[in-house]
Amino acid sequence: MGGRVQGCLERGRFLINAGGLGVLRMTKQKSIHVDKVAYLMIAPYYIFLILFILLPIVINAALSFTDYNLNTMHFVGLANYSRMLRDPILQRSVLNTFLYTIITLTLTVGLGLMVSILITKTGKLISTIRTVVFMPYVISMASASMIWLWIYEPGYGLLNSIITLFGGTAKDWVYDINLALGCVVAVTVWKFLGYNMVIYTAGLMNIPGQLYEAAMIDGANAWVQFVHVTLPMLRPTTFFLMVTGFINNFNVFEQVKILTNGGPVNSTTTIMHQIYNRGFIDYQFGYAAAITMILMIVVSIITALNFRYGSRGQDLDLS
Amino acid sequence: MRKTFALLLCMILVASSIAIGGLAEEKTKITFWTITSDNMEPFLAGGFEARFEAAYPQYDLVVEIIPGTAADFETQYNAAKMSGMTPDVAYLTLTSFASLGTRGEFIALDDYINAWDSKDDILEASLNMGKTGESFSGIGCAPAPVLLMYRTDMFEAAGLDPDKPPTNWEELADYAEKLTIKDAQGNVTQAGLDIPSIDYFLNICEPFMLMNGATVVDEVNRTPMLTEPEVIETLEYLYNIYSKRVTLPHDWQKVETIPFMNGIGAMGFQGPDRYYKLLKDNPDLEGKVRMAPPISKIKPATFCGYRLLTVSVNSQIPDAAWDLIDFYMSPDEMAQRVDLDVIPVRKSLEASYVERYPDYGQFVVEAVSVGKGAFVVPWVATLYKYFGPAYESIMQGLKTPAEAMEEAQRGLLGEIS
Repeated sequence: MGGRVQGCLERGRFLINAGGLGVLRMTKQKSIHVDKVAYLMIAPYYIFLILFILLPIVINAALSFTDYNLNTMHFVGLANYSRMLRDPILQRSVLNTFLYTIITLTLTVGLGLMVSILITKTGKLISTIRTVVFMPYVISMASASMIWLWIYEPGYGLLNSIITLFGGTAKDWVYDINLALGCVVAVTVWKFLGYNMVIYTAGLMNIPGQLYEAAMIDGANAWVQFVHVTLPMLRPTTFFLMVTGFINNFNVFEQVKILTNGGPVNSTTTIMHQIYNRGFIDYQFGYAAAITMILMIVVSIITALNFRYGSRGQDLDLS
Repeated sequence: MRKTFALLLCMILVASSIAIGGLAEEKTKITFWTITSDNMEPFLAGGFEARFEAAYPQYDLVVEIIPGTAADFETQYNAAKMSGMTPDVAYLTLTSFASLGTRGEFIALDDYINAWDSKDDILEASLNMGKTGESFSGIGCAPAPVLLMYRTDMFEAAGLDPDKPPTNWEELADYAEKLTIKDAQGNVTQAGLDIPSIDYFLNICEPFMLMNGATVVDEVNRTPMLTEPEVIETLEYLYNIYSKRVTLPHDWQKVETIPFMNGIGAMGFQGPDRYYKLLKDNPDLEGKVRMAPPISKIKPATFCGYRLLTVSVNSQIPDAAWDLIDFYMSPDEMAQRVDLDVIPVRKSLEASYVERYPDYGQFVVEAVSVGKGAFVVPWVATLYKYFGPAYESIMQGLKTPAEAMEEAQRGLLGEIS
């Protein structure tokens, strides 16, 4: 009972039950002060939130029950949602999106951590390597995709030129059903590795040195230190990268559109690519809206799960 | 005194601004969107805007070139429609015209065309190209045929006569093999013939199917016919050539990936605008690139797209929009475009194109006469959506043409019916 505080409103009086020791009655003598200026200051954000995020979600939800095609609109109930269950291209895009997200997230987070550990140990070269690895992050995805389109080009591209120089057999890369998704993943990993590396480097630099000293005194080797000191201390950083990375990767579009346009044989089409195609190519805006709603719900659920189970250990107190 | 003077000065300035603003407002603003095109851009850069505004001082022409493919153009057009900002006049492809026009996005031009002085001088095919049903929703202003282009130096190196390009399917397959060069590991270093790996229905599949006598799409009854034996046979033929690795994988819509355009392909199907670009970018190829007459099997056929001019149904100034179309289609402007390898659609200028381009002008005119554009049905984009993966699965060797087309036909019918 001790320490438990319970509050409730009762006929204008605020009752606080302080651990069962008695009831303190506080008469509400004056109303809560409303700071109009503060509300005014935060108003732009809320106006933006309502106009550009909440309202579009509501409109999108309403559209998902129609067959809107830019000209006509009829209520179709749950037809768009039931259609998703028998749309093989959409189902393929869901599979591709999950595959892409899992592989990309694993590689960017894993490699990001490895590179950051390596460069923190390379001393003088740290800033040079960090700049080189980070550089792709500042390039727009459209430009990065164009660069890689040239690298993957089967006829005169960089990759095949290197392979054939050493007597190897040229690959079809983005035109090969077995390699295309991997090619898209590689571009994303190349672009986002630097970002993850920088975040991890910042996380590594924040780990107190005395933890490693204590571990060394206890006889822990480098691997044991990594597993029992570095990884737990980087948990908040990893959590942050996982949540933001998941949302970004699940919404992949630009590199797919530019590199493969979803082909060959829909092997690289993603949910966002399908939303774009159904909406802006086929004019099935109602159906596209329904897919968007499902995508939003899935991303929200997985993000919530991430917060629920991934954020443990963020309350370490080293003071 | 000073205050009075300052006040007076302010009033004069304000009055002048209002007067100037008023004068500026007298000009009617016409918005004009155009797709990206290798010969449209130099034409616009050559002073079209200034000439139009000189001829019509009451108008203020605002031209916007929409980057990307024809599909990207449609996307932007749709986005503009949703925000109520569609351009007054649009210069677009036949595919975009088919999907937007059949949805009623353009005004009927019947009254303007019927009262037009130039009507009798415009090719009938160009006028009819702009019809959706019985009404004119646009006007065809430039044919965009696709022809077989080939490199004479590569022909000579392969022991083939550059004066005798392939004329039928058998010769085409035979030449493709002879012109292909591979290294010791079997890697293709010179492609014999460009056959896209990623579907582009229009330039290869549709014309080859038509050469083979297929209907492909019954435009009158708006029915797809992808399981026709002629369609299957055509795809078997294309797969047989492709599987011999006489080509390098590429996407026809991405010009930078096309072997012929990169100088590592001996034969490819391209339009005169790309021919113009190829020679402009590679002056050393002058005299080494030729065009061939349309290939034939049961009948000669090729793809002949069209560029059309349309007026948005949301335009508040249809008369001004028509003035722009009239000016664009005028003999002087059309003659200027002939210099940029644009085929004229005025009967009075037909001969000028052949005279200007004696090496291939006649072939281009022939291609226009036997060419067929995109099928004008409202679900043309859906057709591509199902045909594309089916074609790719054939080229990847995953399905037979019969299986792939059966699946595509079923999927397409399921969505459009």
